[in-house]
Amino acid sequence: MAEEGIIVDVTEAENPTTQAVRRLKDSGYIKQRQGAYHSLRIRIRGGRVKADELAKLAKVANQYGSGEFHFTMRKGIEIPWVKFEDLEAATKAVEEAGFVLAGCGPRTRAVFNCMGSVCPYSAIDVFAIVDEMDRRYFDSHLEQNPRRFPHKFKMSVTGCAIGCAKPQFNEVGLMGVTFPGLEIEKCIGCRLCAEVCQEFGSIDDASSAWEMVPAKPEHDWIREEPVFAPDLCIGCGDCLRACPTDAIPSVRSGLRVFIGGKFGRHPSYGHIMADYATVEEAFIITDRVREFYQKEGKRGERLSQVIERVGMEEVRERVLQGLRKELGEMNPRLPRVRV
Amino acid sequence: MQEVAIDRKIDLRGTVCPMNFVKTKLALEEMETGEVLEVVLDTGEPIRNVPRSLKEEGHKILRVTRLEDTFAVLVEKG
Repeated sequence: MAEEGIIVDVTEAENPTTQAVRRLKDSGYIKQRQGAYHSLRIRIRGGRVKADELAKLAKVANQYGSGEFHFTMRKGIEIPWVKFEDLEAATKAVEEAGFVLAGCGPRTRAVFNCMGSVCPYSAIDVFAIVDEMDRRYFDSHLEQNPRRFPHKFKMSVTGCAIGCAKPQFNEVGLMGVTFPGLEIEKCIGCRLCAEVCQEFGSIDDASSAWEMVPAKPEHDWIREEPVFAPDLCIGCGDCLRACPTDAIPSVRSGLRVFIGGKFGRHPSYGHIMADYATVEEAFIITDRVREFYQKEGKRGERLSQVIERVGMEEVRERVLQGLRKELGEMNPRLPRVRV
Repeated sequence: MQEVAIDRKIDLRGTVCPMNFVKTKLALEEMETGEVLEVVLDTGEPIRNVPRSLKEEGHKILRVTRLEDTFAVLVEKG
């Protein structure tokens, strides 16, 4: 989809100093409390950086900063203690080292992710997805028409239901999920699936999504066999990994799409917009959510507030229009916050 | 269910991850293909992880039996 630059109304009444600070923030310079110094925020795509490239950045930090890096929450790198008069030269040096600055303010922030492409728990290729998201949406370094939103717009990608990259607390969060099947002829009745499953019916209920029951007569090679309660399953994949005989294959995997989450002073837990979406569907949903936010959001509103104002049902209808019906049909127990 | 002849036993109660896996692997290295090792593991992380890692290394899990607070895992060397 074309990334059209949309100019959000900028209050004329802003005094020149406020405007200047805003412009600096837009470009990725964060004013320090120590007046004359700024911290340069650098985007690190997918949280991965080659050691040799980092060495180039180290030179910049030594030359223009205090020789220290600061690692940001969204896996960026900041070079603090850059003098105001050095900002231009330092920026050039950062760009020559092959990096781009990550603007703050009302725009797409660096996409945040877990180590999902190397982590044994992950159901998806996190690096491939996060790189594509970055390619499509991260534009704050572009001088011409970086896409301005009513407020910040954060996205994250996480490989599994443990959710290290906290997709529930981003405007758009993608989570890899996987759904188990059962090939009973491979089962040795070891009960490990029931043992590892942590998805109980309720806090007092001892039965989880996998339970052992006496084996059917035709399964005479085992004493007990597992039965599955799909309504309890959150797609974490613990059973698939635990099964020592591969009797539990993944029959479906995909992305759980959270929208409208945020942290900050008033945290909000994202709504699940779709479950077991393909990567392509997740991008369609992301595009539509971004369009929706740009169209309906008032200046200063985070997506969660816009959803609250417009109503989730309408948002769901608009975003899922024409997509597979199953996407919107999710486990009624999700999301679930244990207290 | 068939009886399985056990060639060697190791008791890894109180041994944490990943040392329990390392010790199991070392025990298996001293055994012949097709021989059976019984490993006693704690509940929680050990029983979640060790059988899976053994499977990934190409060994065959024959049986997992729940004891009180532990599991006895029978592994055939692959």
